[in-house]
Amino acid sequence: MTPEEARLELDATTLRPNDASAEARDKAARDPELGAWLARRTELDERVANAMDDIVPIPGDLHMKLLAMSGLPLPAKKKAMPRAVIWLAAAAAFLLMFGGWWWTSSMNGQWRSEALASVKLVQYGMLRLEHRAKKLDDLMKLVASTNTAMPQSLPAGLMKLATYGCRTVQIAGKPATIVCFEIAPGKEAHLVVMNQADLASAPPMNRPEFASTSGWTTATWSTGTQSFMLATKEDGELLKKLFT
Amino acid sequence: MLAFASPTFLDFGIDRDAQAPSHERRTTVTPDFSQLITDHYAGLYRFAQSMCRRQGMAEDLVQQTFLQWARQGHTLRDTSKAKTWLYTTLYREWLAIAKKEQKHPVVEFEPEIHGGADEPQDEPQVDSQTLQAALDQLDENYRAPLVLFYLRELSYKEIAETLGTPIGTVMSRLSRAKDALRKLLIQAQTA
Repeated sequence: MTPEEARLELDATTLRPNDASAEARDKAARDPELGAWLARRTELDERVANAMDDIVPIPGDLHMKLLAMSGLPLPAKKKAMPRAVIWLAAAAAFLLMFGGWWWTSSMNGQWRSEALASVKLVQYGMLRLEHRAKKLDDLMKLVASTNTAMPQSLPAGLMKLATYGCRTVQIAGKPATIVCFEIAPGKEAHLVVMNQADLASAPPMNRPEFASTSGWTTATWSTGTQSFMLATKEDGELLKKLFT
Repeated sequence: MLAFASPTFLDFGIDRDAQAPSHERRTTVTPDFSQLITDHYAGLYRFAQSMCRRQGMAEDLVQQTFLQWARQGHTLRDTSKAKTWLYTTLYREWLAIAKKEQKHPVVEFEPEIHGGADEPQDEPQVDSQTLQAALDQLDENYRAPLVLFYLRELSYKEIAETLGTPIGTVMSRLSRAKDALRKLLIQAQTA
């Protein structure tokens, strides 16, 4: 180990001295100049590390939010699969990935994939609803005094559904609202509401485009100055019926 | 808001070969999810916030990281590497976002820009505001290892693993980044 190598290693371990090799520590012990440099460096690193705790305060509710996630069912550890099954799974995964890529590409814009990602976070409880009401009208009254964008016009089938609530999110850097409906007893569908002018490629006017990916069915359309995505993990037919 | 990255099977510890000799398996008991959150959420959040500098996005990154754990953590063969897995996952999620936002240009360190090798003898004062401003001036290639280093959560070898960077490169980047940070702190003090 050269003196320079020892210096680099000691520098990388000032805050965790036990991670330094015996050889590097020995060099620092034998070389007064290196030892003095290490002492100065360690002292400054300690002060910087302590100040780091102050520059990034942790949001008070983050721990609770994350702990709420721990209620999610974890997949059970599976037994080893035969090699042929692994190959088949790999082939299927490739097809799924290709299908996912094709689906994403064909959606003409990243906002759809980001919108669906946000919907998933809501569905899985990662993002909590900010406002709760069982009817869309009540929900709209609740958020009337906020900047929450709510749908100005919706298909009649959707207007009739009960709601769980809503929350605001950022999608592709633009503000959006996710409104959660009860599409069937205990089953959810999520409506993403965006300003049409914020989208480079808005969906067609007054005509839903349906798509399916990874077990989700989506409908995207525009009305007036707004664009929408309605997404559900439930039977896609339920979603399509809302537009008939 | 975050886009879901494609599943990332990290290079270490994933149970791809269940027939691996038993001596290669070190810790196989899956850590308690709640405990894992409690132990690591603060460090992960600080790392995320230091990289993206936006509270909402940092929270999303941490949530997404634990969501990935909920989905894939059980496949981690050596669960003693859970912490490194979490930091690696968060970093990759951040890189995916940064790439989309094109805020992560690869800029090599230029000593002549960031200061030469002469070391001022006086040690700088460190306060949180000055430190934040100094860290923000560092290129992300240097800020990432430096923040991980000062969080004290990972060894330099684990930092290298997390960032997908050779150990020697991480050591030299840490050293240069610390030099640059020290100079920036001194400059701020004398300004």
